[in-house]
Amino acid sequence: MSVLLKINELSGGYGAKKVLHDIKISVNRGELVGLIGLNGAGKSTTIKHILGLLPVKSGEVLINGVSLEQDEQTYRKQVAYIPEQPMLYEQLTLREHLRLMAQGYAVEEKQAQERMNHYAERLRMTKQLEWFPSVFSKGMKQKAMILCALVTGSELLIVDEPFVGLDPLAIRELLTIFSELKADGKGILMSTHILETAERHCNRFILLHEGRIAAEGTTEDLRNRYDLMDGSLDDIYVAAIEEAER
Amino acid sequence: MTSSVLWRTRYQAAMAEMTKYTRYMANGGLLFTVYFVVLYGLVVYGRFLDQLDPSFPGNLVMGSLFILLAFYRSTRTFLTEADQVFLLPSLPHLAGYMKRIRVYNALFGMIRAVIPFLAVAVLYVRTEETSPIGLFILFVSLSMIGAAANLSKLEGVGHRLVLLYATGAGILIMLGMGSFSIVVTGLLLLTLHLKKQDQLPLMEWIALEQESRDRFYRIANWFVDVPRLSTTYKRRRLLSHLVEKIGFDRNRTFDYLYMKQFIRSTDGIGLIVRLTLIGAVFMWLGKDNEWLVVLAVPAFSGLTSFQLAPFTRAIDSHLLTRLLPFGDATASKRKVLRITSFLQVVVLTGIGYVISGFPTVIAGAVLALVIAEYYARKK
Repeated sequence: MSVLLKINELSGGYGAKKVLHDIKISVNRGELVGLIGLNGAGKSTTIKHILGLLPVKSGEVLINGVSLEQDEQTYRKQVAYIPEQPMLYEQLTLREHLRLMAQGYAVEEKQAQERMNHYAERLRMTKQLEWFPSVFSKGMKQKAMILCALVTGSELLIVDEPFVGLDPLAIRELLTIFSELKADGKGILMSTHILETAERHCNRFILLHEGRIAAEGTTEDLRNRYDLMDGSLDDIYVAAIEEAER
Repeated sequence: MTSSVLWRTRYQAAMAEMTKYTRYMANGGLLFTVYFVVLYGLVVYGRFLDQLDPSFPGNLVMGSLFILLAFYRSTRTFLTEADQVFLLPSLPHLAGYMKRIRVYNALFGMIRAVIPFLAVAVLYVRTEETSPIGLFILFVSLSMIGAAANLSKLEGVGHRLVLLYATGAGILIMLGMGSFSIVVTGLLLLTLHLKKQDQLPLMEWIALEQESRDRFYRIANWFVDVPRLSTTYKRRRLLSHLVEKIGFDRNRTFDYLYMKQFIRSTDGIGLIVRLTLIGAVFMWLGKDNEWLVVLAVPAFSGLTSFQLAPFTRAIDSHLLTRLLPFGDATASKRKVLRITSFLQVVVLTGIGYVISGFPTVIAGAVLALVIAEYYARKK
């Protein structure tokens, strides 16, 4: 499996405040990696560094071996983002958002149109394509953000709490889409607090605590490490946090 | 929390916020164009008054002012979104706060009437026979319309009621019975008093405050960056359809985005149309003076460019914009500004030439294009 996202010894944060301390993360092609941790553990900061929204203090972030500093266009083209808080342009309809994203990510027009119709139908948003975001419900806004990311066809998907506000059907469909993307060789890094779902769908987990990696591996790896052979990810999570705080 | 404490803290906070932005605006240096247009307006109006025929229907203008003033309603309630949670327990005890808000908005509405009244009064006294007392009655009536317009919004009373009474008062003035207008406006205030709300309508007043703040921030945004500015957009199907013709090319991503913003925002195409029409009226008023017509082109084009310059701010700070890999935002912004400014200058120059017949209006057009280029290049 080739490495898609590689974070080496990354330290960073907001201004002078250091939030992340020498973290190392990798996401391979065809992999869904769960990024878990308490509120304030550094999950969103990690995501912002990957997206190039925060400057790296030390270390490096590479997507397919390219850093943002080396080639910003190539770097950005390879990563799409689904934020926790939907952020849409008030002046664009959903269809226009999708056109903009596809155009900005240099997707071919025909392919963009196909993806747009395909994913909108699967997330039950076809009717809403001509609507403005101001009339969307919270769940619709979240679906719109998901569609914006999917239409880009990027290699790496960074997903922050994707299930918040989604109805059960949409959650199920999104997880199916994630499985298809994995099968297609794409990589996904997903931050979530919904551990039960994460346990069933993620290939690996990275547990962040106070800006450091407290534990990482598959569910089996983590069960062995914390000696919780029948434990769920919830149990492992609690054990890992307790150990980190000791 | 008591009414007086709530009023004091909210009023002081709101004034501090307004002072902060007003200071930024005054320091901006970009006020030059605004000063220029205001001075230009005063000169044009002064010349118009000097040449005014005594048979000019001043009573019609004064009566129309009554109706026009009633159209604008703006209220402050100093409430915030968080109040729908934290103010809930105190809601039955906020009668004092409501009273202060009413007084503030009534006073604000009355003050708003002063400048329009003075502007029209200098015309009115030249064409109509009136006494100082008659003029004072007209001012009181007009300021009562201003107060009533604001209060009606606060009490959730339909705008139609204010417009109806204001039209009644305006017609009386047009018929030369201006002194009776105070009876009509007095009745309007009495009606509003009878319809006033007993309990604070929290959600409605929060929305009113948001609307009012947005209006102020939109103006402040011409001069300084205002974070989290919300605005309204119109679909404009025909223009939107034309924007869809922009090529599906990664390098034209921002052309597409900015053009959509431009056609749908009230700060875009709506602004250009408004200022071009006002410019045409000014040129018509000053059509006998070559310089006034020539300078109207750079004045109104400059004012448009100046107000248009920040129209992409809401987009530039947006997360999705920052993530887009392709497209040149600066070049696209300049392109939109240049095209729209050029079209406006052509229209204004054409109108100026048709109205006055002065070929020197071309010189004004050249100056206007230089100003537009300055704002297009400004970061």
